[in-house]
Amino acid sequence: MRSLDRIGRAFEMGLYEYARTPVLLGLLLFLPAYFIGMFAYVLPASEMPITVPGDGRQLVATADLYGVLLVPLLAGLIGGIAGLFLMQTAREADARLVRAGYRPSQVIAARFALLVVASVVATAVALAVLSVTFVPESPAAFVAASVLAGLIYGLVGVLAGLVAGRLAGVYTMLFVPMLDVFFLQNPTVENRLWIAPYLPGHAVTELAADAGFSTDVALAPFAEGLGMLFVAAVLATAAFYRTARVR
Amino acid sequence: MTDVGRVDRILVGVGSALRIFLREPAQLAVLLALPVIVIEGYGYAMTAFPEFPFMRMNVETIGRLSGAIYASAFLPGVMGLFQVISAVQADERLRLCGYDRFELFLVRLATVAAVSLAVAAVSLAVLARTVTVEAPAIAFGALAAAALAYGLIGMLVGAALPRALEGSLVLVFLVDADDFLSSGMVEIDSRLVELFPLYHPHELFQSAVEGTFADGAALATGAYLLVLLSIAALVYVRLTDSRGVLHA
Amino acid sequence: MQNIRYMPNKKNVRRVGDADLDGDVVLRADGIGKTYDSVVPFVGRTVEVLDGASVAIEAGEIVGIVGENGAGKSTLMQILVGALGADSGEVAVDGTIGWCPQDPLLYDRLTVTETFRLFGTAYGMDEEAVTAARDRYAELLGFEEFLDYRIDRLSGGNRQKINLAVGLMHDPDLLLLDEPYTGFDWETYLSFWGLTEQLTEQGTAIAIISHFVSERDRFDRILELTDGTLTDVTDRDPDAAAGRGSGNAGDATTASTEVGAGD
Repeated sequence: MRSLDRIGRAFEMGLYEYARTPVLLGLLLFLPAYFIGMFAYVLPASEMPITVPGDGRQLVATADLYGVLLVPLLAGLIGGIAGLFLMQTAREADARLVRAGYRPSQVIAARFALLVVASVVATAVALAVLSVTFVPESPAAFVAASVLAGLIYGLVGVLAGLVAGRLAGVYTMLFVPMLDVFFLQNPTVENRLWIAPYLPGHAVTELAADAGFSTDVALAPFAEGLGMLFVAAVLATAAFYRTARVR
Repeated sequence: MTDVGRVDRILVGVGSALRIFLREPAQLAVLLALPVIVIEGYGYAMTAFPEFPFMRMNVETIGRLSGAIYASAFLPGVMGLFQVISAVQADERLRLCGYDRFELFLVRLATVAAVSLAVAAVSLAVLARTVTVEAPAIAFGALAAAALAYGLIGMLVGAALPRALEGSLVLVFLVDADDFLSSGMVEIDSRLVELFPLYHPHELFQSAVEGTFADGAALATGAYLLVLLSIAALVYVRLTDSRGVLHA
Repeated sequence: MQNIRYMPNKKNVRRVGDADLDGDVVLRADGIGKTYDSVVPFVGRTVEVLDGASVAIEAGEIVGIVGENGAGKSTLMQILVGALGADSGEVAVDGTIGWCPQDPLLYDRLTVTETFRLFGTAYGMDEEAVTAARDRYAELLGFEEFLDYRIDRLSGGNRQKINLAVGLMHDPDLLLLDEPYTGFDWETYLSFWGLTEQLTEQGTAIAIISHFVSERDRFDRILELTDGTLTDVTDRDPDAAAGRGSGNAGDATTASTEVGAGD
């Protein structure tokens, strides 16, 4: 029980640190609204054929398609940046916590909980904005897929920050999630490129598109998504142990 | 004495800023590696897509062109942001020692401009290995303009939001929206998209590769840069005015 | 003695209410007030750091500024220097200023030599003057062997030496030093006091924020910052203030003034 207490305390403190930054909170509301709103306004009123695992091939509105892809992407971007900076600013403080008696696993658990919060908030805001013009057919699965996207990319951000540093991490977040979700995992493509299944966005994009446009969602990709999450978590944890030990 | 002093200050300032940039190993590595990764990455990613009727060239080339513009633009953007953020306190001290705010802005600007030219050159060189560029001088100009535009935007965001987390968040969102809307992946008919920083440079660049000079796009690009320059100067000089950046 | 005045850009060092200050007064601050508001209304604390703080510093004197942690000493100094705007009150300075901030505000990836060149140029010094100043302080404070080292490769104490030297190099009329000898070894610490003696003999005015006012005889005056104002405590016996011995019961304004006890 004490372990849970410690994790809870570290989580609480982390939450306060971010919740007390009004600028950050404002951005978390404004940026997704800007992105989705802009797309909804600017994309043409055309239709595109997509392939969805549950229902096969169907025709959807372009604006709706990209709206659906945007929610997990934005969750991924926000989660990724959060993960990147979470570790940067807290790293030395965490190392001290570890020396003071926290086990690294407890610190990690607390930080992961913060990532969950970031992903949930990002998903909620993005979905709220999207719902003005389009509501996903299976909202529950859609939310799950998007939060998962935020978590996976959150851990990618953590990893990038620990291994390559802040600057390289920002470049990674600039290019990788978008290229992954919007280009390489795009459902308008019938034959995916070979690299697509190995990228963080694979399962979550498939799930999101499926949940967006059909009521009968194939749940198998969730297993793959969780597997991806697990791999990311292992890598990030390993990197954290290494850095927490130094100094 | 003051005039000579001013030139001296700017020259020494730019020399220092460039040294600082070059001594960050990540930045230098990115300058050389990013164009290749992004150009080939986008080119490759686009090969999965069918050729939509509104596209002017084959998909792989469209991808590569986009990659060239993005690499040129986003490196100075991140660099501008982090330059301003990391030096906020030391710059304030330097100001108290004798630099005035406008000189500091010029120093930062000159550094961003230098990096913009460098990355535009690298991007063009990498692109030319796989795509024939009919009008290289104009193409270079377009890339440099895109680079400078985002360099200024990076500086602007850094001056307005001098914290790395918030600044990066804003930059990533601006960049990715712009990125996709000018990628040529979807046909956009709204005029609003012309307000995005990369729209006109993209037009200019694409036609330069094809061999024509899109003078309308060139004019718009120039005007856009001028406006950005003025806003950046204003924000930079005004916003940092004794609001206590030194209070941690 | 030749006194070259640098910082040509800093004519605007003369702020509100300036003219030539009378007599030997180099800096006068009247009724300085500063409050830190929380960003969101009704939430968070509003901290009134300074409330009617006033001080006048004369050429050739060394003034010590003491107070509890968080009392606002660094804030006051930043206002005197011009790095921070006050909410009320005026600061007038007759002459050039040198500032050594508490944290070394330097550029991490520049070498010591390059740092001097940059700040020297800011002050308006020519190359010869910069080199001369750099070498003089390198010898005095003991960082000659580090001239080609990057700032981020220096130890904390050495970084602080550079931090100090950069604030002094242009021979200002007024020196504002915020805990200048943090991390100094004993020898450098003594060199520092030797330097201040020289400077005050030349007529430089010096104000030092310090915890180590057990060295009270080094200071001409000691001012304590409590409740937002400055009080002259030069003649107060530190033992009495701490409540030991005979004590001055009337010293209601002092909180724990354990000036000799370090942090």
